[in-house]
Amino acid sequence: MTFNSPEFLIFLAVVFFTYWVLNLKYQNLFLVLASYFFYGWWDWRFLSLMFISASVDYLAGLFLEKTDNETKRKYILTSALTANLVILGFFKYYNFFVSSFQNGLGTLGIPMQSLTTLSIILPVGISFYTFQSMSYSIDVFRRTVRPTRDFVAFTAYVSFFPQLVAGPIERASNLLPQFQARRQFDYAVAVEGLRQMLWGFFKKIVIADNLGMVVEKIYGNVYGASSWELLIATFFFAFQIYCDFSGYSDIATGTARLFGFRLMRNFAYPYFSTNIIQFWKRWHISLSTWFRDYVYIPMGGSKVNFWKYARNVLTVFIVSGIWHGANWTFVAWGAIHGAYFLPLAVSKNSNRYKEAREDIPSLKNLHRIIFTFLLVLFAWVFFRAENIGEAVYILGKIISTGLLAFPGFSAIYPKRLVIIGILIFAEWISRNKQYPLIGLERLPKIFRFGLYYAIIFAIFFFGNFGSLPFIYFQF
Amino acid sequence: MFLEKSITKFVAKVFLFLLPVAIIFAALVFLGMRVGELRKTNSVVEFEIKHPGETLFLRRILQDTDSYKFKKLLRLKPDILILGSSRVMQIRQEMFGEDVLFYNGGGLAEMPLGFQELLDLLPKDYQPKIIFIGLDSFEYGKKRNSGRGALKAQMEKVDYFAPANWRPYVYVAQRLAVGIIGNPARLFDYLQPKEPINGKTAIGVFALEGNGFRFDGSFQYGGSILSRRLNPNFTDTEDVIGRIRQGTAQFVFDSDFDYEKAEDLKTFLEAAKAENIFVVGFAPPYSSEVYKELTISPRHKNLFADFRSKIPKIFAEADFPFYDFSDLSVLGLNDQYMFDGFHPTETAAAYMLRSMLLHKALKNNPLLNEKSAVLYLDKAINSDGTKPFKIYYENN
Repeated sequence: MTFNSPEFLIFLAVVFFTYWVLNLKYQNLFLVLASYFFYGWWDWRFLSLMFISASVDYLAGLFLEKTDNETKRKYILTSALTANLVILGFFKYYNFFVSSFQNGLGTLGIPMQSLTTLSIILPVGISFYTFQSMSYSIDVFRRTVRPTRDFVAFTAYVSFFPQLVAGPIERASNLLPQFQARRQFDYAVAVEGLRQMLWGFFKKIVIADNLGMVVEKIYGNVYGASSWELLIATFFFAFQIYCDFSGYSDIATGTARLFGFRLMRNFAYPYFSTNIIQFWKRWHISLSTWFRDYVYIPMGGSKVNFWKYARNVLTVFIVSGIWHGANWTFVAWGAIHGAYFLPLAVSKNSNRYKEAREDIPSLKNLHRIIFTFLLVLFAWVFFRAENIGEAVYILGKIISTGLLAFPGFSAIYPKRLVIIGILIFAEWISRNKQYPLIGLERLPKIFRFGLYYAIIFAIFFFGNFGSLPFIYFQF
Repeated sequence: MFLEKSITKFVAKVFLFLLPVAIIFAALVFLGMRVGELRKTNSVVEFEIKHPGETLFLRRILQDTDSYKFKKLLRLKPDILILGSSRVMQIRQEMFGEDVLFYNGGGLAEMPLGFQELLDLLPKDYQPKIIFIGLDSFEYGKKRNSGRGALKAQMEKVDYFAPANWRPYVYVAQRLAVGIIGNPARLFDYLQPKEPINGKTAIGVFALEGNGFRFDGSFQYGGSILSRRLNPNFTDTEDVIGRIRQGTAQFVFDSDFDYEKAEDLKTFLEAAKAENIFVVGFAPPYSSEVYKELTISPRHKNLFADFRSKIPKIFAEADFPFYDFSDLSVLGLNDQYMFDGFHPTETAAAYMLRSMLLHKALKNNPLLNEKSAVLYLDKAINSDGTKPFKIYYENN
């Protein structure tokens, strides 16, 4: 069940009604059942994985509470993390590691046929809920979160349907207490949630899916595409993935608000970043902070010598790349971002944390924003390509004399460029707000409702109702 | 267990807010059903069977032509079937008279493998008695895909009208709304869908414009007929000439005749013979300019010449007739008898069929007898109402 389907709207209406007539005790249980139904709609067989993951971390929390012996605590944490990572590793990375191992031996002239790849279906959203569940055990181990004895609340925290399959990856410190507290329906918050959902739907259905059609077509025939086509497709992909993923996050956050929950912010207008450090503070925030808190800082963070610092940065980016998928293209994508990040991070440049705050960006900031975007665009080629060879081919083709032959105005999809222009304008003027439609209640009713209807009709008239799934589901 | 007042207020407001959107959507879905874009294919076929000759069918938004044609073929079980590309689609039931049931399966199978695969898909209790196959020279180049499994893949394509598949409804509503905003008068056409050539019931937006499949599976080029009524001398071959010169669409640069496809054709003919099916092969005409271009173009002429010399031999070896009308002038016609560079008009198709029926190989076939076909065709061709682009039948 995807957010952009009537099934979801029916499901949401039923769950909303039932949820608000129940009291707290049953609300959590009902949310667990609803979330399992939501997830089982894709493939009920993988419900057990989610249940195992949640049970492992719940039990780890209880065991960690019972002992102050640090060796035992480490053992408990290691066991919990291992169990989660084994599940994740098997379902997501087994074939990748086997084929990479075989290829590696093959290049050394050692044939290796005894290991075979398996036809494993990747469970939707496994990386999201596994990371969310694991963060609880780590936080309990660090004593930053009190372990819960309420299994239902904990299971609801791990499987909460709005953010279950594509985040934001929540922390127990933020979300779990909300499951333990009484929720009060707040009219204004619910309206705010609907507004955020509406903006998310617009980004997904009108922008991401329309751009996705072009991207699919051109990236599906890379070797038959011209330099301009590949450039346009890569440019479109940058906005497709942004609108797809941030659109999902908006719908998730808005949906959670209907039930009285506040989820963390996942995107903060990343393409307005003036450098790569800023970009990573604004893109997929829940994942980058997860890696910062649970990988980077435990490795020593920046409080080590240069070489260890470089190791820490590159490790985090490469692991973050692999998190996205079992392919060397994701490794390359992560490594490229690590390479962008490191020089700026070690520099003493005082501008590295400065944002473009003026209404109309200065030439200097505009130049920085465009340069940062181009760096990100370069890396997206690796993210989208089928393999490294294809990515190199695409970049070679784009940066070639083929670009001198302008294909004509219609070949650059002017209507889609206009939609991107509208998005950039809307986001630029609202970049101090969480999303552009926030705070509309201050407008006269006629404008407010006019705008709502305009967006709904834009979704209806210009939306792409094909079957493109949310990109981040596969991760 | 009750809902708080603030929740009921919220729900009521959301409901009222969405109500106009829901009403507009429901109205558009109704229009989609009315105009036939959301009418299930089985329902279209059954409606046509109940009202033979009164409909024209072609959806614009949700096209599933192959599935429609195949279902119709199985429902009609005709004695005479024609296969080939869109170039054979002007051959009509009327041309064979009323004593025999004909179906134009043009578009279902164009390649030798496709002919065979179609035969294999037919139920055991049904075989056509005669199959006319229109062959196109460009299908026999080495670069052309053999089309293996294409028909089956089409049949197994996503069913637009599968239960719980909501996307077609949203998509059709969206496209119809865009169409109505662009031309509000269309709303009335959607409510009373009639095609403009013969005033038949139009099923589908394309049919509403006069383009679509008639009861017998043949195609009506309503747009071309309407423009020819305004300008009878208009000829349009530039597009096809451009394709040939640039090597695009059907006319990719291809000099080599594909002997594998020739073998596929032999296999099909042998299979047909074993099933007692009489096969008539023919090459539909090109416009004079296109014909000339195919004979001189260095990147097409070899394939065209090989096709014209080798294919008749294959038919002769199988003891089936083959007629080559590639050169329109063999029928004594000019380019006004072509819709474009490679689609003959129905009048040209009548001349072509008449020419075949008069040949000794077909003359004595009881299903293709002179009374019901040639005389009838003669009358239609010579009728005052007949034009190069549109034939006038007595029962029209």
